[in-house]
Amino acid sequence: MSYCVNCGVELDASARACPLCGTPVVNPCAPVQPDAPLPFPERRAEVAPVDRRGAGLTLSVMLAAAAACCAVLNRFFFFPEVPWSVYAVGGIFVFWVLAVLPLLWRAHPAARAALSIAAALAYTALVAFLTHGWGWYVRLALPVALAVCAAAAVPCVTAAMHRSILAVTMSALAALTVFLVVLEALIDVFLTGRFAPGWSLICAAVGVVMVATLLVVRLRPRLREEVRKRFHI
Amino acid sequence: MKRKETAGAAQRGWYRLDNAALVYSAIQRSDYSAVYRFSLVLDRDIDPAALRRAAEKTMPRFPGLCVRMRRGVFWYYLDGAPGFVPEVRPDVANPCQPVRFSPGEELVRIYYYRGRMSVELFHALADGTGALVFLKTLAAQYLRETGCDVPCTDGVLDIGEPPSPEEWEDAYPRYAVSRAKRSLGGSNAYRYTGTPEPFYTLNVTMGTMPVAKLKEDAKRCGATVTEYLAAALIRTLIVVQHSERRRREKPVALVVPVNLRPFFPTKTMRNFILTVRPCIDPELGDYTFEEIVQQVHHYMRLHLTRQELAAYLTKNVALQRSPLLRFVPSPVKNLAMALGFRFVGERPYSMTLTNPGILTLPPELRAHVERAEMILGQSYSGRSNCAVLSLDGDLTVTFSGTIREPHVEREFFRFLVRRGVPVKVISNRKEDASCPIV
Ligand SMILES: [Zn+2]
Repeated sequence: MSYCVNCGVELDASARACPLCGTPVVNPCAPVQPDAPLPFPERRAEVAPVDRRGAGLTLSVMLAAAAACCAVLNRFFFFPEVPWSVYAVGGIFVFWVLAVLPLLWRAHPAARAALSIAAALAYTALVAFLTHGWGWYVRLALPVALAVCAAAAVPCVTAAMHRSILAVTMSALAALTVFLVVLEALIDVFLTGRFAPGWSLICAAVGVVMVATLLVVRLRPRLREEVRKRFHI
Repeated sequence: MKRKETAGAAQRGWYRLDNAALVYSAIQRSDYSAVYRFSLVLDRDIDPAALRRAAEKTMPRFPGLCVRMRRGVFWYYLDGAPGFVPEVRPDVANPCQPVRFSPGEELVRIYYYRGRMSVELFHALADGTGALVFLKTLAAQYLRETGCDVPCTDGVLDIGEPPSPEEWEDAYPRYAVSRAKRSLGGSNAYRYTGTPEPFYTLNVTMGTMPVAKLKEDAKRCGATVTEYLAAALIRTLIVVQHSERRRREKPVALVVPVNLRPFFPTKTMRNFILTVRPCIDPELGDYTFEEIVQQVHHYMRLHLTRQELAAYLTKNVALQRSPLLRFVPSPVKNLAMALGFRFVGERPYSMTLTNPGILTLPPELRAHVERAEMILGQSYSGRSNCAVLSLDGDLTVTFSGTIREPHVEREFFRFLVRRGVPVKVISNRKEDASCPIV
């Protein structure tokens, strides 16, 4: 029987080190017995992950039934001349993609995000089509939505690559700068048919200066250390 | 009226969840385990075939354990599964695995490893008192199967007797008659952190010590053994928090389950517990260990009264009965409860300390039992839980959690050694894991 020289607790005959502090057992009078019975078994049991497919299937069936009900009610009973059920069915479909699909299909978060955005855009396209706002949708809403998604994706990707906070901030600022220029261009083209750069250039100038400053800080190790020292939290 | 209803539960073949069980089942999630384990270490290796026979004969005496968890529209419920016998399995390194509520899942599990027989229970079925009765009865039957005669004394149930409905009543509503309603709250407590282990690894560190030495020192400080251990744990957490050099230190508070049976007589084996919250605020100044013991001692004596407990109990049952909550579908209710527990429920507590008390066994059984142990499952945040169980002269303190660094365990056991209590430590931690020498 050995004691930990560091903690003073008695140890098991099979212990090669103290479980509390890691100090190895060195006892000339009672050497560690490697074949002594262990106090606990070594076999690990795996815990099954939670299976959510059952819940996902149930929800899918419920949503499909609700959609079918809407369609039947619309066609035969309430306001057959107005296609209101198309909105409802579209909304149900978007909800299904956002909430139920993740239960059925374990996809990469990026794939899920892309799919969710696609579903939302498809729904807005449906609304635009039904309300005869097609031209407005194609020329302004769709490009702006895509630009927002692209701009948001840049810092997300940088963060996912485990870059420093500085790099993520830089990429976010750069993406924001480009986005603002694109936004003004889209609005100008939609309204007047011609790109006349205005406010976005001021924003872009500020953005470029900020990114450049951060880039200098990033590339000069001494400056980086100095900034880290002054601004440490 | 209520009694008639509960007495009918066994005949009806299903049980409503009691007040504590509602919480345990609602907040169930993939990495939280409201499963606890009791073990007896015998003086000889377990014979699995005999243990299986013993389980087959013992389970029918405990109809409240032969159940499956089912989801009703408004509440979960326990559906009777007569004839259910848990499979007797070789033990595993990561005990107290979480339950999934999947069909065919066992809410009672039986394991064996060398001389140790272990029983794991989902907390919605029974509390420590009920689980210990089951373990004793099972162990007594096991010894009978191997040729020793064990009488039905010291809490061992006679498996020839029919089960009594009173043993499976929900005792909470019967005593929820206080005019006052109180709820236990408190400010956010200190929560220690560390490197999380990979899913699902449960680090168990067990210290065995003689009760006489503990009692001696506890008496010097003027407290009982539970109060003394609670104070030692609070002191440990204060020291660990202090070593983090925070600018503002948070209060250190324990959640200590209290068995309500001494206050409100009942024969039930289902849950009948409440919790109390001994607390020390290090911002008030430095406390000596003796002062912490005194604080815990007086807190317990002041607040553990029949009247105050009845007020807490009434509040909990009133929540469960409120019509607003009752008619909300169960998935919504469970989500709300899980969120509430994550953001409010566990915040006021630093750690759990449970002590189901002194285990008494019939002398014929006692002669073959070397040690009794209790392990709690993974807590909501992964920090260690602490469970205490004593058998005659020996007391076992078990820490179980999913944080790699054994800081709290080390400080706690080293402190007891310094107070003159000899401790023997065993653990299921991997030895080759790079454990820093401190
Ligand atoms: Zn040690």
